[in-house]
Amino acid sequence: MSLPRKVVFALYLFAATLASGAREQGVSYVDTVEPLMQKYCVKCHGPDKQKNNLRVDTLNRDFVNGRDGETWHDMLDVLILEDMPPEDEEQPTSDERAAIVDWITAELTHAAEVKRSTGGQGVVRRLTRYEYNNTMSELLGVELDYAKDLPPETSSHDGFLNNGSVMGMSAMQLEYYLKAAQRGLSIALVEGEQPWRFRHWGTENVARRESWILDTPHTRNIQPGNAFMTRLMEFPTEGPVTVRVKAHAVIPEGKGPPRMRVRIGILADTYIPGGQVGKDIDVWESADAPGEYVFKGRLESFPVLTTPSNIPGMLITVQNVYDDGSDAIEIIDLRINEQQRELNTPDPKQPWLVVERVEFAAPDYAMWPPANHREILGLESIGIDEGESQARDSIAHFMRRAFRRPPSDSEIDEVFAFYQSVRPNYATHIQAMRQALSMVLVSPQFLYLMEPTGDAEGARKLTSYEVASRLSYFLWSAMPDERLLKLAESGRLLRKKTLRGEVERMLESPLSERFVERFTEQWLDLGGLDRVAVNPQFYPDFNDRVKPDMRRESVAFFNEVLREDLSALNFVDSDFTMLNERLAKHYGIDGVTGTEMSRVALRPEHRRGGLVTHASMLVGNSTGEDSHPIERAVWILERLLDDPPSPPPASVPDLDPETPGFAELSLKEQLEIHRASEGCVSCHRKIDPWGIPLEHYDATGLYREEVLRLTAEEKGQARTQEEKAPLDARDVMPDGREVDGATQLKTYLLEQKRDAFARAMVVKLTAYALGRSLEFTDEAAIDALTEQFQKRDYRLDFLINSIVTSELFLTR
Amino acid sequence: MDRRTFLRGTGVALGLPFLESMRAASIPAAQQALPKRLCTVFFPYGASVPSEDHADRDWGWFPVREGDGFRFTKVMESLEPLRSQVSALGGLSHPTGRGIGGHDTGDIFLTGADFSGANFKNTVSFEQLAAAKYGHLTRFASLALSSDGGIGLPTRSKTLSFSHSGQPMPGLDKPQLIFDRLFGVDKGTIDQTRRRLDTEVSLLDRVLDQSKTLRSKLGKQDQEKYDEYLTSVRHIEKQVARSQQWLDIPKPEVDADSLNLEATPDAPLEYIKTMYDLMYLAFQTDSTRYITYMLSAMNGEVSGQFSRALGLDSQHRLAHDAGKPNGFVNQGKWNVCLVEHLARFLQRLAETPEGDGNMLDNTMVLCGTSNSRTHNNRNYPLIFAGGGSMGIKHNQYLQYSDDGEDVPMSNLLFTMLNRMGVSDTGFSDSTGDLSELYV
Repeated sequence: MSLPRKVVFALYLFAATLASGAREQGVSYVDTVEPLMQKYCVKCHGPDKQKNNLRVDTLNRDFVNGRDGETWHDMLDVLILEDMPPEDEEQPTSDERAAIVDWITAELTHAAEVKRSTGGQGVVRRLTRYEYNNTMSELLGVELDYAKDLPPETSSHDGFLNNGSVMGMSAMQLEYYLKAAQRGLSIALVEGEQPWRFRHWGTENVARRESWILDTPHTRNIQPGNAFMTRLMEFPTEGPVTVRVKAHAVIPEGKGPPRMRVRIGILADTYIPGGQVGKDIDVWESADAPGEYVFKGRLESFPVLTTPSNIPGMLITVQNVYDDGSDAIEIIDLRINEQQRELNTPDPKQPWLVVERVEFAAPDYAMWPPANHREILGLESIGIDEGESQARDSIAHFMRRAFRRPPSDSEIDEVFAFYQSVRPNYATHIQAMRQALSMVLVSPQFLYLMEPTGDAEGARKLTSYEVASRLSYFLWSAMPDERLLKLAESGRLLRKKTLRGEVERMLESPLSERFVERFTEQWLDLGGLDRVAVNPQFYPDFNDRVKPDMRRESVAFFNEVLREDLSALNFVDSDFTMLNERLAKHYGIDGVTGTEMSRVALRPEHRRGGLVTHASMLVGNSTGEDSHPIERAVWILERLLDDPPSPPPASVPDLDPETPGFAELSLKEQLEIHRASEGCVSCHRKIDPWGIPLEHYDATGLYREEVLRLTAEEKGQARTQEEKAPLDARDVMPDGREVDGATQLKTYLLEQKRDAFARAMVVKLTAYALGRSLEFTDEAAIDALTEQFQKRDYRLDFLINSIVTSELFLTR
Repeated sequence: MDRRTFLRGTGVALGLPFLESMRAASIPAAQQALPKRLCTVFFPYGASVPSEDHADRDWGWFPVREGDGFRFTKVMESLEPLRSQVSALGGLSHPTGRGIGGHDTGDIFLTGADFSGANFKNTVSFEQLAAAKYGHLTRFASLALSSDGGIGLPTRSKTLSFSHSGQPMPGLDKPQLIFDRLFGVDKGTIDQTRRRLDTEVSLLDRVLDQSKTLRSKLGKQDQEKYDEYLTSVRHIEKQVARSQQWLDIPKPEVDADSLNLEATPDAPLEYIKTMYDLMYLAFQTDSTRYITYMLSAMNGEVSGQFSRALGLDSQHRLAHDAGKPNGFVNQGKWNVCLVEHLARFLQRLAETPEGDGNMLDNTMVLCGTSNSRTHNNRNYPLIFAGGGSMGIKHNQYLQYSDDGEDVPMSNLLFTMLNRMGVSDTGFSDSTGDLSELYV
């Protein structure tokens, strides 16, 4: 058996049970299961007869160490499918059958947990792709996509990417680490004279095609979707680049500000403008006081056509990417063939970005050798060709930052010896140094978060440097900064007061946006949005442009709860959410303008509030055509309650196609048929009620009173007829309480599952902080953290502090 | 000489290397020097398998009627022109996979490892045995491709290839990256490249030394995980050493114009075609002889949606809905698409002359999945093609299941390894070979 992270649950074939609960509630083998097996099974599978070579009364009940786990598993399947006992034998009641099913499932789940267990120690973990990328960028002082060739990563069963036990290493991966190191160092460490700084100014919007250069310039009043372009016929291809844009905005009543995006180069295959430099900026300044906006990047990141083409030179593109989601905004495809569609008479009802001047400078070094070159080598003031005599010190300096702790003498010697051995093969000190530092960047001390424990039994306290690393990868997804390393050096970091102070400082830093984004994305499985394609046959008005906003709503919502010291119970239900104009329009909420997410108060008629009404969740757990109540239920159980159901057992048969009229039944009715099977009911009655109350939300996350229905025969063919059916969002929770609709579901969560939610929040955040799954050995610690969390009004900053100062975090 | 007879009897041909004697009889000497290639393609959740009397039987994967008088259904119609070089196989499955979860069997498709009891330690995949023996003859010992890329999780692996220690080998997913690896030319002169490789060998050597010291400071569980790193350093060292050997032999020049290296899984049909094109080029240039391609993985986030390109549901839903009205037709349509892509690849191999025959004669291609109907881990739907010069007989539909009892899948994998001259003792849990496939 297995517990994959995300099983795509089949509607009809779902048979699972909330096993851990059953184990705690203690269906007893001796009191319950054994007498039942004596009564129904042993006649044919006991001491006298062993039909099918199976004897059940002597099976080993220890699923962990015993060897009968698979036999139990087989028995589970035949019990669920009601293949056993045979029809002509006495049948157990449904409660009796459920009791055995629950017991076996609970034991199997427990055995899997034990086998997966690392005794609460976790396992040495390497940096994730994004941690590696951030770390390389900070270490070398050059922002590039270092991780682009690394193999993609997978989430652990509890949804996290930073879980050491699932992160692999392979020769190919190591090969790409080495290539990335060599490339990064060849750019970051410089030689020779400072290259000549190239400058360019553009004040007119040029055409992309060379033959059009002589044409009248296009407008500088850029409406949403359109772009301003300037061309450099001569240009550098390496080094830091600075683009300065002087611009102002013209914003009509009721509209948000234009949003500026700058791109450099052009993609060779499609002629689409190349990579983005810097971040999008909303432009508010008016014509009488235009703004100056600065965008910085590295030319190495941008695609530049070097072969002759009808798009000569290098293009700088300044786009207005404001988008209110309406049809009035024509997203202009910037491919060359589409140029004709550029609008020279912009729409006055839309916000304009008026570009007055674009200035380009590259390679734009403030000093020579550049600051990051000096920082890598640890040399404050130095000429470009000096420093060879201090090679060993430079290596040691770099290793301290790369290893996130002072390297030992022997570690330094290893690298220095390598430097010396290759030095004669290279013309300059710097060339040899690039090789030596590459060695550091493929070393395990850099690629892994090393916390060596030796043969010691039990947990040991982490060193101050190890704590610094845990902290910075938790809150910044990157290496510790100099201040953290200094605090580690003096040992002060281990004081709880200092730790709290650092948590506060780190959360205030913009780098903590990475924590907000990465944690939210993984906790809530926001990637689900990309896996679901909304079917335009069903939702002709749906606009895919709104999907990124759905993701951003959830990230911004987490951010708001964290930054504004709000209760985490807002995740269950809230009187606000985070919207921009486009998403608000999708939700049908008026009065929101602009591209940035901002806090919007919710009224009852909006029928929103809490994560379960976020479109990211509702769309990500739909089929693209309709809601998927089981996936939504599993999402709530996994993400909000940390109580995931087991995956369906092996060998579940297909739905009996003979079931009359099955395809025409509503989903809920189909589920009910499924639940009529005794083997399935014990599981489904624990799952379905979590998803059914959200039936009022369709596959695009919008509220509905009735559901569009299709017969199976029409599937895959053009829809000819619309048929609507009323909705039923009522169901009965496992405890017998009836829940009707999302509001009651949220009330139920708050009233009946508040503790479970608090605990889940603690488990998720702690698992992310530790880079490992939590296990039964951690239960006491988790209970304590949960208690503190609840006492402190469910505030995330307190929870983060409690985690960071807990034994879990400070020991290994 | 009948291989099965040999296995059953004892003492026959003792003293002589068995394969040599057999090969000498069946394969012309002139062809022995030609490359022998192996290629495996996998897709998840089974295929359309309606019952024999079902109204939509013609949308089923398996051909109609057994023996050499079989008729392809709509699904394999595109293979009709290649009939003499193709066989359809049924009734094979891994005994170790029969009792585990219905979606847990992709990992062991080429390994036959035992995953029971939540033990997810895999074993070597069969093409790695070939790579270990003959991989030194080409620039790349083997090539693992995957539409989803990377390794994935146990039971949801995104690669078909596993090393001798059972470690997943990441599948490459980006066409441009694959192309650059195979055919990209190093910047700089040969001398510069040689110096770089020398430096790398020395660098890796030192890293390895240092890393071994570090290992002893780790706890036991950490050591196990850490060994992945050590193994990787050893492998890449060998790889670099190999690049040194190949340094003076230029990489083959390949015209990339006909390839869409920008293809992404967002446009599945174009993407799959490109991946097959790259596989063809890798073989044609003899850059490698052993390729696996996880065209789509169980629970592949990206590849699971491929079938939507035809306006159908996701692959998983197609499989689960097979029993519903029109279900076999829908799943069958997706199967048609899969087989058409395969057929195009096979056709290209068959049209490329090599020795006295063509490339397909020297390439064994296996394409299939590890479920029949969804969740059912038996009766794998398989297409087996090529290998004529290695003594493989085709133009047959072989159904190995006897009264519902399957023959081990490893028997087929062993048969293939045997014909390649890699193994004459067995593979994984094989109990024999499939002599019906021998000329």
